[in-house]
Amino acid sequence: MKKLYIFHVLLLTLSMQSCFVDQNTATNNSGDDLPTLNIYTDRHYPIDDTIFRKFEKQYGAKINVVKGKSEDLLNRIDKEGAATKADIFLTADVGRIYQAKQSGFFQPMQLPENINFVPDYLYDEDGVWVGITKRARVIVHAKDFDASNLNDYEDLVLPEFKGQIAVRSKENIYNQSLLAAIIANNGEDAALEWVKGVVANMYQSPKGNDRDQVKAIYVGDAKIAIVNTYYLGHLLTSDDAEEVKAAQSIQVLFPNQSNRGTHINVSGGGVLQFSENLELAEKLFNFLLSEEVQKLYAESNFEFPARKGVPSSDIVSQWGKFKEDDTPLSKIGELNTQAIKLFDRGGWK
Amino acid sequence: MSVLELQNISKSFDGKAVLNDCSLEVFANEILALIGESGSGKSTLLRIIAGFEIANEGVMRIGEQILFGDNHFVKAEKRKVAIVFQDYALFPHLTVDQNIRFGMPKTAKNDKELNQLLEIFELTNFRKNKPNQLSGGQQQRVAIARAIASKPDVLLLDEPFSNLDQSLRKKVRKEILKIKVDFQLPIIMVTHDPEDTIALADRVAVLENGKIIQTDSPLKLYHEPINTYVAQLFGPAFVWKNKIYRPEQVKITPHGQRDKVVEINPNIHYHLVLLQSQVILMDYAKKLKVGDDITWSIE
Amino acid sequence: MKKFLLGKNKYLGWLLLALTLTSLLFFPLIFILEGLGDSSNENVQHIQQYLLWDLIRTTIRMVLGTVAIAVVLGLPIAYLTATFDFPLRRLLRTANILPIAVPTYIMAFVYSSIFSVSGSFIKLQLYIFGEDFMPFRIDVMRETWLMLFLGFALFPYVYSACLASFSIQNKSLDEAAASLGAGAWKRFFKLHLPLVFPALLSGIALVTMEVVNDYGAMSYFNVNTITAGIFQAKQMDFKSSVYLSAMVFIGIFSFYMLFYFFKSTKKITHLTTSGNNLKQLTKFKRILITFFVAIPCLLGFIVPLMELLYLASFRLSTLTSSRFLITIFNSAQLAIIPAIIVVIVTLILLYNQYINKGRLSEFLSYLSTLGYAIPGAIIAVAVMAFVIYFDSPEKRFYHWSIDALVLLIFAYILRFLAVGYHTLEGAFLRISHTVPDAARSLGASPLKTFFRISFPIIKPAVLTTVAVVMVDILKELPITLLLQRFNFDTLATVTFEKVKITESVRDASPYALLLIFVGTIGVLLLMGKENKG
Repeated sequence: MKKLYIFHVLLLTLSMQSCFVDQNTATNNSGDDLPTLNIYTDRHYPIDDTIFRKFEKQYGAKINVVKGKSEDLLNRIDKEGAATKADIFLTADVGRIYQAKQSGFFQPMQLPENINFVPDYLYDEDGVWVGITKRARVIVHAKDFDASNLNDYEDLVLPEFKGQIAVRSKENIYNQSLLAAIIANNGEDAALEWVKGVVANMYQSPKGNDRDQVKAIYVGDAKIAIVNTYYLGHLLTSDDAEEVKAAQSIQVLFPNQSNRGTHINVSGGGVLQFSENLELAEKLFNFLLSEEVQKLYAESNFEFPARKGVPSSDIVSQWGKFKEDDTPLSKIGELNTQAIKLFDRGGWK
Repeated sequence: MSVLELQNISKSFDGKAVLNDCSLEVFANEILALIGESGSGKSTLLRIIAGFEIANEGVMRIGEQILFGDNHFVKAEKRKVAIVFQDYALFPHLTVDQNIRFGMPKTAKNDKELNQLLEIFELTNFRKNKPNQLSGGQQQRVAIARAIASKPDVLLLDEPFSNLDQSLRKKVRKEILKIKVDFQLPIIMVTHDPEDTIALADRVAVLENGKIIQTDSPLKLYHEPINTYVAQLFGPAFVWKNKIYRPEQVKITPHGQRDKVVEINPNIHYHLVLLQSQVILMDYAKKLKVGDDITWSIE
Repeated sequence: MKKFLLGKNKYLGWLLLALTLTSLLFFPLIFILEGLGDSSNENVQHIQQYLLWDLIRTTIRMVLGTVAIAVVLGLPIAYLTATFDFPLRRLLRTANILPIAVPTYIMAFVYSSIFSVSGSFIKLQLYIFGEDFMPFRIDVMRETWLMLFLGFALFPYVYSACLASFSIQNKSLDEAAASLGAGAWKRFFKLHLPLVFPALLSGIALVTMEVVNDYGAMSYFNVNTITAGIFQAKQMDFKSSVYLSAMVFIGIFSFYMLFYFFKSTKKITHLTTSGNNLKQLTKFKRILITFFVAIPCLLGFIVPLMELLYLASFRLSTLTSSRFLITIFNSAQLAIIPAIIVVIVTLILLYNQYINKGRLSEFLSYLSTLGYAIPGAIIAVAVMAFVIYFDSPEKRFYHWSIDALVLLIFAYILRFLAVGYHTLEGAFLRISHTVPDAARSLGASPLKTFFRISFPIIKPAVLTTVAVVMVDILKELPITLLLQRFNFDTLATVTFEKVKITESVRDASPYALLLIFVGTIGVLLLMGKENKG
């Protein structure tokens, strides 16, 4: 009997050993054969994996990914300090990119040549981060809704829209960046008034995700919603007929066309300070900005390509061309924390 | 010479005294009964002897070896003390064979000894059974066989009769007496039952509130009890508590010393104990029927 | 002499081992206190000024609401199941544990999906009454509904604790009370309730910890508990959450210690069970009871399962995708190792409590199970800080521990030791201490006694404990997200990713389904063993 238990224990340790070794190969081969890039990313889209595999093939490299929440990843980069294995930090919001830059996490990179095709408000003036795709935070309303007085984000506070607005919580980073843009353009006091005005017009206390806001219009609970374009794309191509109907029931309105333009957020990243693979990382960013890859982003994830001249997907382009707010995104990133505070002060839950 | 010797053992749990200055000797080929009410500390004393508890004070030896005291402490597994628990504590996942073999010293004679034990305890037919396939009496025999197989210097029995019915009781009593003789073992038996005590014990130690108040043969305990508790242990006794109003007519001698006289204090209460066996009522007039109430008095 | 002998009867090896393990499990948590130095952080001040009271109030509200639902369902159902005979009793007895296999965030997402405008609730109405029917809608995206959904998911904690306690209550007690003229209600409130109270309390404690720890469900419903506050602090500046975390840790720790002293003075030993004589009732009452008792497993398990099955039917291709298969493999492997270690550590702590009786050993075990009360995200950061602090400048050990998943596994052990401990403790205490005592008095060393007597006897319970801990690890999210290594997915992280980022419960359904499926197997294993024992 006794021998049997010892055998159990042995078996256990053996199996533990073997599985650790087995899975380690993913990161261990850096020195052996392939040059490797380690990426911490908050972009959890299937298309990203496809694109990374393409890069691996084309450049004979290996890409390893940790997918997590931006806040967790930044925390981890901070804690790991000089010892971090990560080469690149990617995220889907400029606020987090800004925090990374402010914390000195990025090292300057040689801007890829493809950057020439990217408008300059989409990358960092010091050249430490680069935007890859854009998302527009647009206003949508019910097709049968008279939106003649609704042109700008600022119009959302008009008393006539009382009880008609559907929007997500303050926790949503896209809302935070939108408010940061309003602070940047109108100043803090006006922004606070705007928060209070929108809160007064909400049909209910904020809940759910972007898809839910569109559905609220579809069933008539609300008339107006603030959403990201790429969720609309996903709704329109959903295999759930009700979701498609919901997306078809709304009209997209690009705000502030007569003045500063529609707020856009950026998805992108930079090379981390302690990375020793700067060259390969630069290659990756150049690759991500290449026409071919930009098309992939546009078509499969309904994001707007950062690169000029690359068309959006058919679904997105049917909403028409629009003027973008060209407030430097680094400014918007800087104002992120202040935006969160304004939300709290204005009572936006 | 005593095999097991306890001197001035005291033990307290969380500041509450459980055993208080207990001294005890057990000789070879002797059964000592530890008797007392529940909570009197008898189980704790047994656990201290077995080595599961450590006393706060005192000395304990087996033969020449100090098990406890004088900066020594021998752990339970190093003591040659075997214990048979009230619930037998058989190993449920092992067969009778394996249970008995568990504590056997690793010598070549193992199998022979095992077979002998199985035979003595009438377990040969059940040797491959698991404990839950045995009756209560069989389980107890396994537990005793197992304890003896480990060749202890002292055998401890914790309430060996509490789970047995009357007919089994008598059988087990015989077995225990046989063990004493066959294996020449000193046995300490914890019990609360006077009948078992009288039937088995060579000597009895009475525990009351953590103190050993009297250690003697059962007969002596009966005839010369040290207090009313001991007096009432082995059967009904009549107890009066009163002052002595005419001290000149009463003589009291201390326990065990008939030639000494104790001076009587007329202001304190004394107990007068009359054992049942010492009272014989004679009905000279032959007027009484069985069941009649009678009144009588002491003058 | 007394002093000198103190400890001589101790088995120092075991005590040191237990002490080492406890320190290893407790010491990293101290690193949470690093954050206390950060009180002047202006983001923290903002949160204190504008949010803190609201966060605390919401947390208390959510805890009270969820606990109320778990108790209102769990307590009477446990009583009815343990006391009366009714149709499907044996089946429901087990089935009511199953909601525990559904993580709280999946419960919340599935229910909001069912009642969403494109959800099954509406579709079912249209299917039954025709396309022109104006469907009846229920808006479940409310705090009160969330309490209900969380209540479904967490009900088994109260139910199983109370069921075990009711089941071992002596039937003759009830009969004695009845013979004294106490009616059924009076007997329940005056007799059974006080006896079951400690078990009820431990069930409530578990529900409370789960509610405080939940982030996914709360964030979707935008119910801002203290965990949401920590997350907002992280958003404002990933460093400013440490102060709040430290405060939360101090709060929980004080509470935990208070509970220890409260608990240790109130130990109630139960009488042993006497037969399984269930009471008979009239037919009408029996059927009524069946309906009531079926509610939790129906709403907490069957309904979400059906919905997920329905949703997964649109994603059949996922089931054969390589990512899906790799994820299953990863999850299973990742869960089983810490589960086994949890059991080993638990065994050591329990055996140490047996071999070295006393307050110290008891306290060590109690301290080791603290991790379950602390939100996962806080534990993950603490563990990381702990390892990095002691590492060489090159952080070789840290990297190895991340790559080999050692750090992740360590954090799991820290968090889920309590689960293993409480599952195994019952089995361990059920062996009379005289059994190992007897082995030792026969000359077996403590080690031999452990391997040849104690361990073999509780081996069945060991297996179930591994299964139960595995279920909890499979469901775990925040620690996994923070301490994962490169190229690594688990069922929980993928489910989260699909629900949160692509906002599609459909995409998540195959992963969620499998998560529940694996959990269900674990629970059934547990119940199977308990029914036998």
